[in-house]
Amino acid sequence: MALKKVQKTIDVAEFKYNRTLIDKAAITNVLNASLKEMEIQKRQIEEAKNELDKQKKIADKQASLNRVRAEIASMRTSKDLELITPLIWKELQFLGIPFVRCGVFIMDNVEKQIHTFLSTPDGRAITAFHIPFDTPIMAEIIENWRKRTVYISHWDETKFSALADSLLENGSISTRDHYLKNIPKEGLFLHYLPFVQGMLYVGNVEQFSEEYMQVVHMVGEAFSTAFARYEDFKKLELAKLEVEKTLNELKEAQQQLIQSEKMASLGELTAGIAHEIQNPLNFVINFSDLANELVDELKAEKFLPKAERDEVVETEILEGIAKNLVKINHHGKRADSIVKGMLQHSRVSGGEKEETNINLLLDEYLRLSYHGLRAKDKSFNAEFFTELDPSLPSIHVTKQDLGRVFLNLINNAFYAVNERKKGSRTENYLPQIKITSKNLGDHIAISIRDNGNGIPSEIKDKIFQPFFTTKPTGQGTGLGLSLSYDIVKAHGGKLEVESSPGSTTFTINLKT
Amino acid sequence: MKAKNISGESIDQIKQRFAEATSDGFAPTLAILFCSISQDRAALRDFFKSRDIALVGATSAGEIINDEVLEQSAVILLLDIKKEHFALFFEESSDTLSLAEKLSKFSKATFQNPSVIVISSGLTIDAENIINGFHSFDPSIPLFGGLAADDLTMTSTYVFTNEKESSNGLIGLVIDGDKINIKGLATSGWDNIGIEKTITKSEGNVVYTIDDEPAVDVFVNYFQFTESVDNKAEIIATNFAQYPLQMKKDNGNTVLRAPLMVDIDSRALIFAGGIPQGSKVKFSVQPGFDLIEKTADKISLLKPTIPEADALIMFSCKARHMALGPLTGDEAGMIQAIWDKPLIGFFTYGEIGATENSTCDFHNETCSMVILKEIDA
Repeated sequence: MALKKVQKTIDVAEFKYNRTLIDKAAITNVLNASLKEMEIQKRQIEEAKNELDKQKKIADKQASLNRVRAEIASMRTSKDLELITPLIWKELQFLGIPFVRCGVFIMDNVEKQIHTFLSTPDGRAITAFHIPFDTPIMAEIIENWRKRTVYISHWDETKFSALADSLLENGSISTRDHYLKNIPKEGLFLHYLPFVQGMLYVGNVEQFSEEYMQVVHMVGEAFSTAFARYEDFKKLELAKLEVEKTLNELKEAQQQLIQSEKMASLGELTAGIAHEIQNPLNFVINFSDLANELVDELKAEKFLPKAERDEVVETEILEGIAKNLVKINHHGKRADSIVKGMLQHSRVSGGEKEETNINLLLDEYLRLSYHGLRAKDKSFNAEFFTELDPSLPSIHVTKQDLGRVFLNLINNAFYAVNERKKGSRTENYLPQIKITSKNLGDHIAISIRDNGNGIPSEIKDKIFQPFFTTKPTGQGTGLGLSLSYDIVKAHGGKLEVESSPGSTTFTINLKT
Repeated sequence: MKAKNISGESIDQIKQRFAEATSDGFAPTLAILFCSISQDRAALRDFFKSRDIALVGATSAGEIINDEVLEQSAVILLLDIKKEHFALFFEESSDTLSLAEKLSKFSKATFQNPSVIVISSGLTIDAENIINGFHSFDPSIPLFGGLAADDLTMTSTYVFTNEKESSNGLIGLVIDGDKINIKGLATSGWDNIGIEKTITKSEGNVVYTIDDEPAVDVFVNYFQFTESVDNKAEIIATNFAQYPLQMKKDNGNTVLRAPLMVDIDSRALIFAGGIPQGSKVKFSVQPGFDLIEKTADKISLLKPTIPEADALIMFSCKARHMALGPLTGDEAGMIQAIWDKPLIGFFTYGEIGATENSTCDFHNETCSMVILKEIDA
């Protein structure tokens, strides 16, 4: 029994020993394998991190270049250009370029000047100043820019000092210290990198490595693209100003033309108006003559002995005088209204809208037109008819504007029949125009029809265009129909034309 | 309820020990038997059948009786449990999931408050489906048990009753919970080690790749196994199985999954339980020698819930046997001493039970204890 116990103890000890060895080996193996894997993972993570860093650098670079482009592209004025230096400063810093100062030289081939944008030691901009191409200190820079080569020069304190003096002289800086502060004793390497419009310059204590130069070069390129856009924008702005100026001139000329068209139509009216005024004047003259005679009669009666005087006759004479005076007054007023109408017609801007009897307006302008043409040309003659709807309601319109439309259309109609008549003397042609008005309930229609040659279909589309005319030079402005069209439109109406050989009808539709 | 346990290396020895055990008039109605595949199972079945004793049997990879560990033997727990207090379920199918669901339904149909001890045969089944199938019907039924074994030959495992045996079946001992108090606990002790790895390709309990490398290669590389794994089932079981993968399941349970077999063509490993693709796993190493005390301490936590016992059944993983060697008997002895009642058990290919902090699950590398006590009328 004791032996068995001892044997078991030995067995257990042996087992524990063996298992411990196995365990130790197994644990060591697992831990070694785990360690190996963790090292691999660590390496992979590090590699991934490096890759990310690399990508971030590229992304940063891209972002920086995009910012340069965006900033420059948003510049609009020369004043905005002052922001170039702080921008370049900020981005060079962002990209991790070591530098002490920076700047941009824009080469102006027209003015033969270098527009210079330099930084102060703390990254602020020095007021842009302009150096002529032939300034000795700039010779190398210009030369290298023309060849588009990178130029690196080393400036010592003396050179900076000399530049500071000239900056002070032209007022770009207020004190020498403003520019010279922080210039290291050993001076600076100035790296000039060319781009299309100029040179980007970065100053640093040590000369740049190839990698840094590449980064700065990229900034220069981005700057160049953006600057080209800025210049294009400036050119566009100038062009836009030119166009605006021309447009304004054109508008003025147009305004003048419109006025002259009014005056021209006034001229056409003059004869008609003269005729219209002649009538009341004749009446005034006749009735005043008659009144004078009656006065004479009355005087004679007055000188008769009292017994011979006939009171009845005297009263009759006095009444006759009074009647004549009323007539004189009536015709005087008529002349007055014709003159007022003429003055209204020549006014530049449209007048007030008022309730207007369209039939009366049509009749008035028909007569003005007819007599006007007759006065100008004795041989002119044409029959005209009116068919005016007595139920036509008064409508709210600008009288002189609409009158101008009627006059224009009626004049054109007379002109058309006259042209046809002139072109066919042998023909048994009877020139006729007809003016119609119709009450159509919610609107009225006014048509002016002539039996002239008609409007050729190829120009029918153009007749309402401004400055289009078929009349000989000097006889029409080409604005008549265009203005008429605009006036009708402004009244919320429609002006339409229908034409075939031997018949042309212009129709105006106006809302009641 | 009276219980006696006997063991034997042959049918004759068993017959003799049975005679001794029943010489005092003890009349068992149920025998729970675990034996080596080398034992004459047919003779054993006939023996109990002839005595009208119900039999729940399973093949093993080492047998346990009280504080003794046996090999190539049989251990038997004899119980004079009333026949109406238990029922047997035994069916064959490779569809473990529906088989387990059937068992669950059967137990609920038999008793109002059943408890079930389940043993399954089948070397390559995904034993997790026993839990899934059983719980799919009623997750509240207490479930304990394990997978039958075959002395690490990896040829075939069996479960059997008096009537028949199957290498592809499920045997369920359904006990009336209102008559018999039954408690159980599974404990492990394996610690995880190394870095977390991902199961990159798996189907059920077959793991093809771990971190995109063939599963076999990963084990070989990690543990520097020098022996060839080709077709040497025992090498896999004795080497790989001692280093299970620890896996956290979706339900929150942490389980160990031991590799049992190798598929040489695909260099895949067949585990004792399912490992879903995408699972995060860690290797585990064997516990220290103080494990046996720790296990006994854990099991003793059951004592307040079941202060007295009639019998104890132990389902202990074969890998524990290999890891603890001669100490395994001491462990069984310490646990048996808690209640001081007959204990039998066997070394399994997988255990079923609840661990201290989780619900009932399928485990590897655990010791799953079942304590039985008849409730006094």
